[in-house]
Amino acid sequence: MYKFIIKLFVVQIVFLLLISCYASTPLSTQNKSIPLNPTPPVNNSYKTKPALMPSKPQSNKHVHEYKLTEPKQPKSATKNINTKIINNNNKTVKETSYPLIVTGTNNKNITFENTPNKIIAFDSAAVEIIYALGEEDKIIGTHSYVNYPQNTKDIAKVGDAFNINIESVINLEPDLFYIFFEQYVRQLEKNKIKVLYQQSLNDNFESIPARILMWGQILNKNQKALDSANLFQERLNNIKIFFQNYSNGPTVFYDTGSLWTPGNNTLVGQTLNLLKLQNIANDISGYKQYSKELIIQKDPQIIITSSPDYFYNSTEFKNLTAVKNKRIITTNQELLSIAGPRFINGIEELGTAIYSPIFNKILLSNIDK
Amino acid sequence: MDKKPHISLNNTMLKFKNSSFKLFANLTINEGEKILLIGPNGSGKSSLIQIISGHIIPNKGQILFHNFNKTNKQTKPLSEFISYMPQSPYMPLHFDVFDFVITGRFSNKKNKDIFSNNDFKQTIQVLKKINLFNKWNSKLAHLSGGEKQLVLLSHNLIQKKHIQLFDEPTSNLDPFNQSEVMNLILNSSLKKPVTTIVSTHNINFAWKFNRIIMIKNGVIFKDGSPNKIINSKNLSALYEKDIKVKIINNKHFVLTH
Amino acid sequence: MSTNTNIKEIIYIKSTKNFISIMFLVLVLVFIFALSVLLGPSKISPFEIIRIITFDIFTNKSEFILSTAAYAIIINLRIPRSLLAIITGIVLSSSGSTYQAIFKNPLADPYLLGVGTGAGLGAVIGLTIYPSNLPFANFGAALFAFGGGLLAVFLTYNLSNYSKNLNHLSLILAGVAITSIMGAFTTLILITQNPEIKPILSWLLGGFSLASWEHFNIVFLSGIPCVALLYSQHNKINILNLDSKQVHSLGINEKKTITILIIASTLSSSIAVSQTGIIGFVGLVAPHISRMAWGTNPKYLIPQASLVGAIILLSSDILAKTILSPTEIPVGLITAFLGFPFFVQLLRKEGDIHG
Repeated sequence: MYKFIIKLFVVQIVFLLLISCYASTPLSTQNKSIPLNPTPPVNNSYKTKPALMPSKPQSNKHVHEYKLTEPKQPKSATKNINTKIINNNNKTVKETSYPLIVTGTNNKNITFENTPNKIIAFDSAAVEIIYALGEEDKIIGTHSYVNYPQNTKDIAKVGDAFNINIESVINLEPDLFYIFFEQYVRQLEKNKIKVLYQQSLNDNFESIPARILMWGQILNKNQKALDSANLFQERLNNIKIFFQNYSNGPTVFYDTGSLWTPGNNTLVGQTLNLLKLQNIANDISGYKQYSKELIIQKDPQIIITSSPDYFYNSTEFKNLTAVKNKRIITTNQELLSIAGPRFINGIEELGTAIYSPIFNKILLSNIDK
Repeated sequence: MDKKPHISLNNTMLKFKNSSFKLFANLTINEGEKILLIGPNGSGKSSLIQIISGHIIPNKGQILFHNFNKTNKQTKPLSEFISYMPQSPYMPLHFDVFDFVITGRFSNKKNKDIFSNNDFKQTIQVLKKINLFNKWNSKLAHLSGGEKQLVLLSHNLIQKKHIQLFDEPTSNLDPFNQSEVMNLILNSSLKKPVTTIVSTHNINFAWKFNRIIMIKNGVIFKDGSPNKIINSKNLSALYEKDIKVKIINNKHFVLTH
Repeated sequence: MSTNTNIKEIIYIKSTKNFISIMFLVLVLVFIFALSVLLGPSKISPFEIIRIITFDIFTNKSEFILSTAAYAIIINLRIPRSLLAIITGIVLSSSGSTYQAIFKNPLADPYLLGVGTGAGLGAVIGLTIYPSNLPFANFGAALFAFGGGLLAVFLTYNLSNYSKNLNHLSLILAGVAITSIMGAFTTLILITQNPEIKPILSWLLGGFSLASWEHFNIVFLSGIPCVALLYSQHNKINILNLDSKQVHSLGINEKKTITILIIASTLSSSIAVSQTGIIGFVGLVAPHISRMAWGTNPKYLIPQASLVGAIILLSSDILAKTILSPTEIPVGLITAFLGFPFFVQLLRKEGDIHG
């Protein structure tokens, strides 16, 4: 009889582990917020909602209550924009001087005596950055979820998102292993592998240029890195400047599949903030599955999803503003999931999809990359 | 009395798996006969009964049921005219006595989906006959071995079939109960003649029957009326032990050591 | 005659008591149903709810007037979701009670023969091939899940020697074998194909978060006939508890009856699972609670267990949608938690019956 109870406890523990896996985000759990404060919902630039039937005033207790607020006058943003552009146009860019020391997230200093030539870049963003710098031949291994650009399919895969096959890593004899989570660092180091661990940028895409520059340093491709980082920053700044003149935009629901949606402390969440879009899922953290009831109650004006038919064909959603006005947008969501050089493409794509043609104008001033 | 052959076993042979034991049976059973099957342990009594009930299919030979309601056996399922009380079947202990016994009514019913008041009545009557009615609500788990056997017996009796087979129905009962039960089995209140086959180790009941079949080592050793068959010589040969039959006060007694 | 009074007494103790218990359960279910419509992540006042419902029943619907969020939430989300929870509870519990009877095993549940893992494998395959489609509303993945469930039971049936000998144990063992191999394939696909984990995880844990009238209709239309079929055989199911030889003597073709019961149960469970994911424990715990409380006769057990199952599932769903609002906990987790104390109670009491 006791054995049975013990087995039940084991089952309980397994279930709890499953809960914790699905509940917490797999990457960073730190909550760095970017100083852009969304103002309360104001809808003056976009279509009005159909009138709600007058109902009895609802009690004030619950947070998820929806209130109709009076439209306010548009305010122009008075914040300063980070216009720091790494401006090195006047001088020629220096070569990297080795030995080069790079500090990882675990505060370990990794020393590079020379340019590394056999890199296992176990991180999608790192892979894309290295390709952007033209040094793709140095990548000898990566993880199985990497699929951009096309030729990455020929690179050896030494693991999936969270499992690494240590033996194949050792066989490849890398001189650098770049990883975005800490779990395997010690084991790799024990096997005499140089590991650079940098926590993935979960919610701070502003640091992407810095990462590009870092790789430029490591690979001694500083000019190219500078160009790439500058381009990224310039495009980003254009967008920020553009939004200076506008108050908040429409409410949105960003569906990554099965009603899973990002909160404000995610890369996507911060992008929505940047684009002045009000994420209705502002009460969750990380990625969670959102309740249909709240979607209906909060009635987003725009829905971003890969399966628009789901919303169009569901009876319960037929009165949503976004459904009625056919404002359901599909974008390449992969762009906004990798904190690499293509991230800015994702931002621009989303902005264009929602705010065109006004938004497109600022893009035309950029050289398309 | 014109006896109509009821069941024929024609040259039936059963071979047991995993053993070289073979059972041979070639006999005719007449309607209304009360047959007692005796023999040492492992001689094939249970298997013979199960061949007749249809639970075991012999490797060779055939069983025929003749002149039964003027139809061929093939068109009527065996369950309509044969009832079988197994020796020690699995009994679901969470059942109560009443529920267990009433299931016996299942095969007689036209409307098999529900038990009617009539079924309830029959069950009560059988339980009263066996003197178990006061325990109708008890779970089988709370009954003694003997009481469970009585419940099993009621389950059989309530079926009121033409051919009734009992495999050691009294093994767990006290001596007085054994006698009463044997009377119950043999004096059915049915209008039609009931063919009854009983196997038991209590040979003293032999004279209640009109035919005795002795089985030894899978072969029918002797077959006839009790007066002819039950004697010291046959019994001793059957069991390979010294057994005497004595007559005291006009009653036969079988004495073993 | 004393027999007639006896009959009345027995009928009272057996039927009337059970009938009263069923009425009681129905009342509890109605109460919990009302609670489930009142509660949810968005706050809607009870008066508003009553107004909406009466509006819906008594008025000719017109698109323009009914464009309120509250209406959509109540009529198109909460009510079908609660109804789905009820019908799923009924389907799983009837299946569970039937299996417990025919396999003479109190640990049997609807997933005994592999429906659960088969459907899981089907859903994972469906979600891998069509990753951008939502699993429930989409016909494709649900269809795969349904097919997977049927396939698993089909394989179990053929793998066991059931067609040759009447051996329950072989059926159960085959069920274990197929369950484990299907589970293995599921894990294999998850590891090698790298599909979207989140929708799959929510599906595997089971839940009503994406429920709509469509789901309810599918489960209802398939479940009611199957459950009705199971219930119509209650007498036979009861007799199947007896020794094989006795069942045979009573004229029941055990193999054929059990096959039909398995088919009915598998069809309904498979469809339910394809719409709601794998919800465990209810199919096991609800029949048990009913047995402990009111006895094992399927004539009453099947309706009682169905109602108990519906109550448990509906209550779990209320917890699932309110505890961590605005996100939802998969219902399967809550039923697992609720299942534990019942098991402990069970361990104490079962000793009494078999002891």
